[in-house]
Amino acid sequence: MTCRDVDGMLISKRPRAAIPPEMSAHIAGCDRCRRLIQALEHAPEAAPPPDRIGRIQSAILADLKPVKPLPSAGVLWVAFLLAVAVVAAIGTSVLGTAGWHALSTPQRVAIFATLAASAALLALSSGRQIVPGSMLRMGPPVLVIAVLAVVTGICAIAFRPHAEPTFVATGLVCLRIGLECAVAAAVLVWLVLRRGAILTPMLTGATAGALAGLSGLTVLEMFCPNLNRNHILAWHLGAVLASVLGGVAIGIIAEYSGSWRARRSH
Amino acid sequence: MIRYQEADSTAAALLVERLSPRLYRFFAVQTASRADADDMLQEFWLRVHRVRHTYRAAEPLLPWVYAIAHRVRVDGYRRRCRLSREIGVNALPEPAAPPQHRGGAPAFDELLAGLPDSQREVLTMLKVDGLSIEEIARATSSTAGAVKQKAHRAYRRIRALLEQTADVTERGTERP
Repeated sequence: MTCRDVDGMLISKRPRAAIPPEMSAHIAGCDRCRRLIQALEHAPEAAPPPDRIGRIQSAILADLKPVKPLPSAGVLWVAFLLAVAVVAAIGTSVLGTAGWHALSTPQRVAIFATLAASAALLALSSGRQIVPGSMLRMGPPVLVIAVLAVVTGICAIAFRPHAEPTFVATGLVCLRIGLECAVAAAVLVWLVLRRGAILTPMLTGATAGALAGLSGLTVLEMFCPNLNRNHILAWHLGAVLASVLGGVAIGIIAEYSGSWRARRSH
Repeated sequence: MIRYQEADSTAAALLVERLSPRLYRFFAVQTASRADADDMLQEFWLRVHRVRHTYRAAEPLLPWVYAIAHRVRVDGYRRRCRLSREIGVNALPEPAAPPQHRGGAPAFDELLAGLPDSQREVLTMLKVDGLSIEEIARATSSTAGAVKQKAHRAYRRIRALLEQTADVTERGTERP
């Protein structure tokens, strides 16, 4: 057994639990490990002031009302996806499906399967982020970056670039539509989010922003018949990126306003 | 917890009584003063009360509790940093507890003080609060692998610190 093995065993050992025999044998001949165990197995005891617990109990009991537990993870997941789907459906019904008809079948499959999978993952993550102590298989920043990278990659592969004289003018129209749909989806997503506990507003903002942005991107892919790769990467995906950044900005404002309120109350 | 959600006052009082000592320890080990730990404990219960509906019966309680405690600690840390910049470090309150030396070795708090914030938190949850790796991963919105890595790094740093201390002690005793 090495000192590193001892570290591994100490990490999985509960405080005050017995030391396994194989570890004891190593410790007997290793000064470094003995010192480490002596130092770490004697965590200091600390107790709150006696009157503090009483005061907390009084404050809680004074405002004790029954609460309805948050819906299950599945219900939250469906709610987030519904928020995105409703805006995408309304946007498509208003603006039309010229983009859908301009796409070839492989392009349709690649784009919409990617959008659906990305929205499903972001909805799952959003649902977990609003429940403290949920197991996150992937950190929210990694997920958002991965989704943006995959969607960008698929668009870059599925479309070809060509010259476009009205690149900015047509692009701005798509950006505006994408952002309008993203804002509408963000409002619906927020109505679901606010039911839970948002512990990290910045990360939840980024995830919700990406989810809302995908709603805008879906509408644009259904509506916009312009298949120029540069147009799609700059303006369609630009709407998603702007939506993510907007979510992060709102999250930062929420974090700082929260800590400012806490500071004032202290 | 379920009975607390149903507004059972006995259950609520019992929950506060049972959890407060371990959470106070969690805050006290990582903060500079008893007053800060006290404030954080109060802030923690305010938040728990506000978001008690987010606890699900099928899920383990400790990760839920420590996820909120983790957030309170992070916010408290940021607040203290800002405060210390504004009023100067000298004006901060007294340390939580005097360091306890055991046979010349640095005390637990001193060792933890030499660690980065995230490693200190993981080690506190492991060694003071007795949480498992998976519970810590849930509480800190991280993965079990990342938690293990932080714990290993923390142990490496502590070993280095202990060796430095041992060297200094040996040199001190060698002097006439």
